[in-house]
Amino acid sequence: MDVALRAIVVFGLLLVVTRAVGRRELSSMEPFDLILLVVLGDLIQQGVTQSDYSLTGTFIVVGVIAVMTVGTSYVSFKVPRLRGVLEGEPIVLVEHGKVIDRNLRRERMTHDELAAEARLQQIADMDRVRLAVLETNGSVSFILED
Amino acid sequence: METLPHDLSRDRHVDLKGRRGEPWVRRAVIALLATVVAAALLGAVGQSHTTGRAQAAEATLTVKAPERIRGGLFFQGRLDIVARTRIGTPRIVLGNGWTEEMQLNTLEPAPASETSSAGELELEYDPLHTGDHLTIWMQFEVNPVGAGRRDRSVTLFDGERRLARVPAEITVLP
Repeated sequence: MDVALRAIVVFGLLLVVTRAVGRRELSSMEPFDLILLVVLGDLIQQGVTQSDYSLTGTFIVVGVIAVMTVGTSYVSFKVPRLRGVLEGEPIVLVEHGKVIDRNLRRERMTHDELAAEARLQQIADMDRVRLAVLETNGSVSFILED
Repeated sequence: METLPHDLSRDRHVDLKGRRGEPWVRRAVIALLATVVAAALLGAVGQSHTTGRAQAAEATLTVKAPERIRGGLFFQGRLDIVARTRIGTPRIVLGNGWTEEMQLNTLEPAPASETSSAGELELEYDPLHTGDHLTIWMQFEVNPVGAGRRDRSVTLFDGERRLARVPAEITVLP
């Protein structure tokens, strides 16, 4: 029972931490972030399974994570009010070429980072952008002026 | 002309009305995590050692061991007994926190005899003479499922006569 409880607690902790850390930090995957991710995975595994090397324990943990993932997704799907809490909401960063600094600051994002995101999508000039939206997965989507 | 797609609203996604509290919730969660980190750095969640001492006319008993530990960790308990008079039958009684949900990896020096009574481990050593200093090292590993708070006292007897006691509790964090 304890291994299932630990998996539930760790799942909840990860959900809260990923929401609190912010989507921008988690969407970019620099080499350091990749290493950090692997280290984090190892640390989490120790906390969940501890000294349980059994196949039964593996089944329990994988089952808990799968059920919690589907459950969270189902709740998000069925309860629109909780969707924002579980997944976050998009934020508009640019409208008609004008950067909305307040929204940028809120996501701890600089003009340079925004420009880099635009360049990645072959957009050199922000004046061409009708709308730039920071999506819930951390990526920035750009809609160009007609 | 409205520039926003139909699923985005100006109030909610541009002006962020009704979302002013979100950064504060985020900051509160980060502050909470930072508090846990600070507590860990200050040793509040184990496993720094504390030292307890009891003095009697016959002997001094010193116990050095952590009061907070976490599941799966190794730790050491150290007992020091300095005899002020001859102790014919030194007997040490360990509270159940020393053994319940713990793996006792080693205990050195080994006692002459050992038994248990009412869930407490009793260790009996060879006689101590005036001025003798007996040090006992005990190495443990905490069972991951053993979370809880238990008695970690150590009591020194001479036969059936109680000489000194160091009361303490041990908290095993999950």
